[in-house]
Amino acid sequence: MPRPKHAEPKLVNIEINGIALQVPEGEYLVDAAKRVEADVPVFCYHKYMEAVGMCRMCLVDVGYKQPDGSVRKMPKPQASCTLPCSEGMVAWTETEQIIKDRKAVLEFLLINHPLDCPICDRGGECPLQNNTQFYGPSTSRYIEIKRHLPKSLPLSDHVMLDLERCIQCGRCVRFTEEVSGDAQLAFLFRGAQTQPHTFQLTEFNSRFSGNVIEICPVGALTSRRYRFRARPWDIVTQKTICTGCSNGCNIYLDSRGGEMVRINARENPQVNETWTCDKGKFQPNIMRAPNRIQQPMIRKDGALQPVEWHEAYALILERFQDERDKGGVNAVAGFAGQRMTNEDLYLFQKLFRAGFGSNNIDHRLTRYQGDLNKDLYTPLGTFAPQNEMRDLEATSLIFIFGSDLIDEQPMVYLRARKAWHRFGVKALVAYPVPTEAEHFAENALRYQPGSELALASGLLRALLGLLPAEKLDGIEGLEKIRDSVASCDPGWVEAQTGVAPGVLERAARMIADSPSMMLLAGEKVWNHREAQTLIHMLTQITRVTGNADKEEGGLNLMPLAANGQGAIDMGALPNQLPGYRSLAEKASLEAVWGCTLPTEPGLASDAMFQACLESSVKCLYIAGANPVAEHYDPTLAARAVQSVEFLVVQDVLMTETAQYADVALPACAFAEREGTYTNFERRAQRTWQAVPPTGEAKPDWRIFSELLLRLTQQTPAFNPREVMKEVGQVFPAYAACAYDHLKDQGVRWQQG
Amino acid sequence: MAEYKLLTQHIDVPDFYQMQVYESLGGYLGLKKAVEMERQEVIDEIKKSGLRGRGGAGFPAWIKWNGIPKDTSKPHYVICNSDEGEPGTFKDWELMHKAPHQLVEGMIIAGYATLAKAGYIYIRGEYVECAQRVRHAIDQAYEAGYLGKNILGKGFDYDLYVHMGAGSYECGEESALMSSLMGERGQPRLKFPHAPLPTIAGVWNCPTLINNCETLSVAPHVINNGGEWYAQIGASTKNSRGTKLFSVSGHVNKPGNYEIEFGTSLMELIELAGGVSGGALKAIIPGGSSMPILPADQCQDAILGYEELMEKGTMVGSGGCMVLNEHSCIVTFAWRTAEFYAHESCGKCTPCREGTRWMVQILERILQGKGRPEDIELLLEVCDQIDGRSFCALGDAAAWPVRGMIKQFRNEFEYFIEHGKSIVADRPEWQRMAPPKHYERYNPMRYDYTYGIERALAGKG
Repeated sequence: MPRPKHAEPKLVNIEINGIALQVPEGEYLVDAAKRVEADVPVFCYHKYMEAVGMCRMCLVDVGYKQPDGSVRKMPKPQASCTLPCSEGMVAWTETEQIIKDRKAVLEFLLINHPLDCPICDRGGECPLQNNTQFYGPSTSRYIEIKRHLPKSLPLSDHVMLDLERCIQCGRCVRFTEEVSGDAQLAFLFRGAQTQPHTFQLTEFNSRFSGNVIEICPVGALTSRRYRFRARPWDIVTQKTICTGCSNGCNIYLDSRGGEMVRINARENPQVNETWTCDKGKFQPNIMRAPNRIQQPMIRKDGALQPVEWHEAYALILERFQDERDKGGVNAVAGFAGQRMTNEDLYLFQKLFRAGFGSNNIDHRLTRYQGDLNKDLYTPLGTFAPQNEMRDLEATSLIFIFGSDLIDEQPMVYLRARKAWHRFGVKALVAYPVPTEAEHFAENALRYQPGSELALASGLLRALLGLLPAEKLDGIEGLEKIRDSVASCDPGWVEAQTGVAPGVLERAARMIADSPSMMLLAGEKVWNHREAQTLIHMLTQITRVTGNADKEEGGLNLMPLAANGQGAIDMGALPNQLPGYRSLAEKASLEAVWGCTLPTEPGLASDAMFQACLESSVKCLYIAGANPVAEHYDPTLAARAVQSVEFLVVQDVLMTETAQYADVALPACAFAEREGTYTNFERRAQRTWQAVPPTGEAKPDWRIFSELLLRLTQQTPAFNPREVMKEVGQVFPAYAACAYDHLKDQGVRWQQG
Repeated sequence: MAEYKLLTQHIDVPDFYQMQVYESLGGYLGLKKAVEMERQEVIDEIKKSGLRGRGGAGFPAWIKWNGIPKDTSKPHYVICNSDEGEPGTFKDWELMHKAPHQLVEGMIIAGYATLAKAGYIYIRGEYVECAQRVRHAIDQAYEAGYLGKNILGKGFDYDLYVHMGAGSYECGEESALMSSLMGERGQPRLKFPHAPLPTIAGVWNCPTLINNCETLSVAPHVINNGGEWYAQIGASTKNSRGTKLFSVSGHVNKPGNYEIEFGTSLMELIELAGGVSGGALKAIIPGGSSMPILPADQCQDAILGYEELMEKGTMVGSGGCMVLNEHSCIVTFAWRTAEFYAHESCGKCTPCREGTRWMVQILERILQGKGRPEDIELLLEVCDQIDGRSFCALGDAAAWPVRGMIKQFRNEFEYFIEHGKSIVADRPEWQRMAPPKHYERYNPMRYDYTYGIERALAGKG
């Protein structure tokens, strides 16, 4: 059963260490004990995995209140990690016997543990070490020979296994079985020989393998990247956000002497629970990349020469103003990268709109460059995903359309898998080739690449036939929808997509029978030739099934890059101002900015590059983006940056695009600065500076701010906090995302 | 008192495993009677009989039968636990090998009473002949219309399957058995109150009745003769009813299975088995190797009954009665027992995984003459640390015998540690019968199971 989002749990009365309290029925005793600050040590128990009660570390004495008021104590101590709380339960966590039992379990665990803490990566942050300090015996009575096993077994490029240190808690094995679902690890042999390993001793081949390193309560699984590089007490840990994709995983970035050494997951139950994907966890150290732009550079005599910041600024402003004065506002253009924070994006579009008076701004690398405003999405509201991560567990059907979820949105994949595994949520996948998500999907539609629109139309037509009339009542423009897909009968769909009528019918029935549905659309939609029509079709599917205004259902077009959502919100678009305002609604913005804004819509990215080729755009400012490598049509982008008269590239690395720059400006990498990112569920999350900037790099927002100062002579923003405050004035939904409100877990802005 | 042959009454009749012979001797009458009764009446008969589980715990059988939901919103299953792994026990072997139809009949009755869809007979992997015989019996029962669709015209459908274990002692534990049956790793699962009872969510999360082979074999007799009749057998005991098969082995003249009425004395059982051989009696383990040992002086007045033996500090268990004469070495016996449990520990929980190995290592060191006086206390403490702390009863089963032996024969352990040799080492009788000294052949690091991994490592370079 899907987990209802707003269910009121039934409370039961229990007593722990003499303190009476009420807890939700079925909550494990080990969690209930935390409420009264009774410390129950654990090894195998993990909050986000099913409890097994293997390690016996969490034993407590338990009794039940009898009707006559007496307490009947259970003869044996019980594992509190698997014992659900029920009415009248009485528990003691600190009795003499329990203290003895904890000592006993730790003594058992340590008899075969090598105790090589001085050379162990985990030493200093090791649950076994901590529990032994707090609860364990001071000496061991074990004088026999310890178990000897291989100590440095590479399981994969990322993970190293030390079998001697392993305490067989099974967390890693359970993770691969339950959470990531790839079932790569298993226990081999039995009894005292039990050891975790991959089946057939093959390579540990998983997209989430890094997590087992973090959940290992000893140093048995270590990161090959981090191994022997630092000790926990000489690293500095900073909270931040992973910028690998639009999931916005909360992470800790650990650095030693200003050098990033590792990335760990930071718990956020709303977003990534406590997981990361390998792409994020083992991402290259961009801060120390050899091809970083170290200082501002200007092309002189065909080569980029280092200059001072003010020289670069002066040249940029001179060229941009000059060309604008000569060729009009369309002679300058700006391309914003989706790796930039909300503050950067906001100031970038402000620089172009208020500073250069041009609407030629875009951020899109995908084929779809049409409208992103409200009208398209009506009546779903703004062009932003409707649901949040948690809804995956509350909905009854997850329809993954045109997305290789595990690759594009790893955390959504994990959460969708959890929803299926734990709560029995069904899944339906439509993708041209088999994907990982098909393993748990009840039904899969494999269509010919490029035929997404035909498939969606066919589905819509089938749905209109299947849905009961009373459900369709009151849907505006139903007849129009019906007419638009009238010709999309199953035979036509099969000819177009290769999906057999029976398969289509089954999928449509699945959707029609589900009380709610979350539609997750991905890369194949963004890059579709007729994306606008396709999105419209998906909107209609969401509408006719009644999911448009449901809390646990809806349409979610998931941005593909870290701050793709923020770029739309901040108005890094040629025809849209911050806050989904059309260009006609510029008055309030003019009031805040104190200037007049252009009314002419600007050029979208394709048109912008085309204009560069035709030399109508003379000056191009590319900030935080690498279109030559990442644009869906790299040839067009490459030709555009080569032929444009004056190219400014502001980026972290000397990218393919930056090679052609006339002015190259060094920007800070994500961990060298602070800011906010908006993830695919509209959650604005903060990052903090973890390491000092490299060379003369500046945060993007500061560069724009300094340019704006020179242009408009207005007081610039001195820090991102102020920028965010201004965003809140311009886009009221973001007022809730001011820095003071964001805290550690971020805030999801609400559609108004 | 002599044997009371109920289950083993016709066991020596030639071809008793064949349907014709079994039916000619009153076979399947119980089933025919049962299907005429209401399902609840069958359960009530079992309740009246006072039948208790024969697998070791002695849990009243009817409570399990009655606990199965009365509706069939989920399919119900019956499982026969014939994974007879307890050292010293071989009663199920005889019951399955010689009277397979009796078990099949019991399974059908249990299935009828609990509205089951199918039954599984989980047979220990080594019992190949038994599995053949049981399969043969099932085939014959299908032919005779006792299994399959519409059994005896009563509209009751029931199928029976044989599943062979893969040689793990742990799979005799009911939840591990069900894991194994479902194709998972043979490890125990959470039990009540941590998880629902198997009668609510057992195999494949469906209501499951799981009973021992002997318990199910009794069912036809209870139905055939009535629960009250069965309850009269063994009425002299406190709460044990009926007969019990004891597998007598060790130093007796006629080792074998003996069926006796509850209330028979332990010494009578030994007399049935031809008396102690090779010397005077030293000790008896009455219920299989997991149970605490009973020294000779306490054996004299021991009565075979669940509560009666409990008072003596041991248990009926599975009825694997092991007899030791005066020339046996208890320390070696303790080592061999501990070695078995260390080998069979599934490795799931810490106390059992680490504790059983530690016990063997200590005992091995004592056998090698390197014992320390404090080792006895250490062994007792390790036993205490395992007992009641492990995930399932295997940990308890490993701790009880060693603790029992130290408690009853502490002097032998002390002698061994002090002199570096057994108290019976110089006796020619011991030298004749002493088992091969495995512990010398084994080295303490023998749990290095790394050959496969080293090979993989070599491949990786």
